Amino acid sequence: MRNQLIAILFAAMGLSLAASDSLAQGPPINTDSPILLGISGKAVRTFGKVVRLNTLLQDGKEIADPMSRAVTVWAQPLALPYNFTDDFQVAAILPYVNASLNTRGPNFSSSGLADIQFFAKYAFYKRDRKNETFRVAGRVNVKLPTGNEQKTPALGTGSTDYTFSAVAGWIKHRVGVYVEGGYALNTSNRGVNYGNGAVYNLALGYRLLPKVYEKYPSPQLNGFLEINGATAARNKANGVADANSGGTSIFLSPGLQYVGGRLWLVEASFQYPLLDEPNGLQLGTAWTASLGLRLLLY
Amino acid sequence: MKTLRLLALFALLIFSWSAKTASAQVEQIEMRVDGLACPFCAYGLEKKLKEIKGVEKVTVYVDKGLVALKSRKEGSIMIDRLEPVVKDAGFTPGEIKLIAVGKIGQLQGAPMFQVSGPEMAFVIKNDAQYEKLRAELNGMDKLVRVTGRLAQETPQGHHAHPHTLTIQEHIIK
Repeated sequence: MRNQLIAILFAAMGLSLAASDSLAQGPPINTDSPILLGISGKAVRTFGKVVRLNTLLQDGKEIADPMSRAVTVWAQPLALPYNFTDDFQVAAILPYVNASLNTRGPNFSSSGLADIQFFAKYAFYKRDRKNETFRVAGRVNVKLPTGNEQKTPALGTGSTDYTFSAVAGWIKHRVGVYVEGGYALNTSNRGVNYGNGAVYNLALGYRLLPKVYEKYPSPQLNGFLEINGATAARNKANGVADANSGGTSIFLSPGLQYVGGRLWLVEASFQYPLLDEPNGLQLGTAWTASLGLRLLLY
Repeated sequence: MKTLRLLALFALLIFSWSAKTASAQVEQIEMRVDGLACPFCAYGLEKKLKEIKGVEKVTVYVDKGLVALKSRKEGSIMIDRLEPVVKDAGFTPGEIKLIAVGKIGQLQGAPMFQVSGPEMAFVIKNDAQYEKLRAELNGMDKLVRVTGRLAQETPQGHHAHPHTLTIQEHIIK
């Protein structure tokens, strides 16, 4: 029971950290952006994300859960960016997390500051044309073990982890396409070596309104359809792989974004699992929902 | 020594032109900005363009990929600042069109359009439109309002000039 609990909680934490990652992104909503300008780069952002896991899976197949376990994680990260130039950005992400585990037996809940992250992003390629831009950026993300790992559910993994990623984005008139790929290099804590992983995201954006954007600023409504995936290897304890850890999750994420003016936007996204195959016995994700706000700082 | 003499002559010419063209100015500028595909990115561009000396109003036309700048009643827009500012804002500067009032002159055999100050002298592209203007002026020292575009060109026998003016329309005041 204890091992299963840890596996479930780590799964939930993984998703909440994914939420923190998405917070540091410009438009689109759940995929990173290579554009570091305006609201897409210099805005303080908060992004509330609720993750619900309530299906017990054995190697990706649903099985009956006599304990009726359900995990709900609410992550509310605050991202504070600073642009040294318009192609180089650093940021801190401070995530507040509230997590609960409900069962037929005892219930658990915890809340507080989770693992703080810092990242640096550099846009190293740019090709501009009239009403069109194509940019590519690289990013290094560091997650520090600031969340209390002793709580149940834990608020952090206790490990210092790194993610190296690249993102390309192309925007022309009303259409935007973004592709992101990254490698997560995870370290260990208390004898558990967390499995490394990969993240892969694809986002298609379309400006729903206005049809013709004449003068800046004008209100703008964007629609997004994203595919967000993550794969993690099994954790190892003393060199032995934990069968109930790691796996692959791929979400279909439709979203809407309203840019109200020069200084702010609101956005909402819903994520439905297209593929949810955690290794061994773990809880699967039912859905995630997010609501975000970005305010331009400078 | 010859270079020094040329520089002194250039400075004298500029000074005399400046003294005579107090009401001359760059009135409006329209600049193509490439990469202006995401309207939510335009904030920094607008903000930085507003900081250029002489600029009163900035309008960003996203669909046209253009920014339009209107100058203050007194003083000209510092055109030399436009390209660095657009680059600093994360975009790619393109062709500049302008409406300006100034005088026609010559420097070392090259036709010049002098607005005000040494940084506001443009080499004029010596084409049919310029010849027409010169013929209409017939040697008169009058202010001219021109509409034209600026680009880097190399007039015959001269070095490349970043602001070569191709006159498209003119009115003698």
